[in-house]
Amino acid sequence: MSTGRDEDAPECDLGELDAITRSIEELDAIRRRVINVVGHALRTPVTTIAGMANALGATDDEATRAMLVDGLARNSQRVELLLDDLLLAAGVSTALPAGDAASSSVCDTFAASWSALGGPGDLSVLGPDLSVLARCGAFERIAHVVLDNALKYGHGPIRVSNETTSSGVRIEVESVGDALSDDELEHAFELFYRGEHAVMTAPGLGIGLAVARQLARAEGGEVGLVRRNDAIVATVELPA
Amino acid sequence: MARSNGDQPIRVVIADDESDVRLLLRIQLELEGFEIAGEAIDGKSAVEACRDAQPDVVILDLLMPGVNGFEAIPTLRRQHPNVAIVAYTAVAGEFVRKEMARMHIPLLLKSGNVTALATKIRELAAG
Repeated sequence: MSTGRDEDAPECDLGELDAITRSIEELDAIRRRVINVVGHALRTPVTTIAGMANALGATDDEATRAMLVDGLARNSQRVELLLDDLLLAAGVSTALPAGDAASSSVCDTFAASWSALGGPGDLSVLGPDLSVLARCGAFERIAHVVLDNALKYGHGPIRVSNETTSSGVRIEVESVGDALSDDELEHAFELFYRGEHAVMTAPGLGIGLAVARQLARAEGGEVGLVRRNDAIVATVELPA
Repeated sequence: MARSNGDQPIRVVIADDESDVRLLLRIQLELEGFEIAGEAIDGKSAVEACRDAQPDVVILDLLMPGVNGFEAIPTLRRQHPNVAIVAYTAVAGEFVRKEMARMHIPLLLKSGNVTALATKIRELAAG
């Protein structure tokens, strides 16, 4: 006599079903959170581009128009970087920099990032004038991420230094602040992780450090984060 | 021109940590006839700008480094009770919306179109 049940179907108890249901709900929550933070991170540059385009059509003043054109270029680049970061975070290898590694000056690259981020005054790098070996775009992106974090979440002066190591060059970006607790430091390289302080002070995706580490490792280097007294120090190691 | 009373233009302080947002708002609001009385990059400098410029309205981003917009609101209310506040932010979850409603502070999401913000500033300046 048939029981109406497929005799060959695998056994699955209720506890197992509950666990599967919970996993699906957790994945759905993560999916919503990712869409939420991506939407928020894109909102400011996209609305700025839209507003600047509108304003460009509403003014004949040449100086104002020039400022708007510069702003459009900056914010378009910001969106481009965000999209590159998202593709890298998604593990899309084609988003990794291509071509041969080339030598880049630590001082020049960090000074250019500092200026692009609107850091106060000029940035000087303590130590000798060193260069690292990386593919085009990788080192610039790493410098941008660590300086951006220091500017956003640190207090007071930011100290950048570099030194030669047995495997290349080690760069340190030290900023005073308590933006990340010791527990949070361990999570800072997780995708879409944002510390409690960061959530309250600045919009962001929470992928910058993960992307910087991914880029550094692709070049044979590493990015880390340590606490030193009342400061947080981002470390960048790259071949020379 | 956007007038607050008589022939005086409505005076506005812009508080946002993003320089391009400040630049854009300055241009857009000046085109709308407002006077930009000051700019601020965080909550602390927003309070100082309101002290120095005595504007009619402060446009306040909520997420800023240092003293953020949330933290600045009680000080602004206490020290500058005549300055109306508009919260202007890219991020407005349920908590933000409830808090702004509780404090009776109008909340607008950042937009490329300044019309809604300009309308709200005029409403606030008119009392």
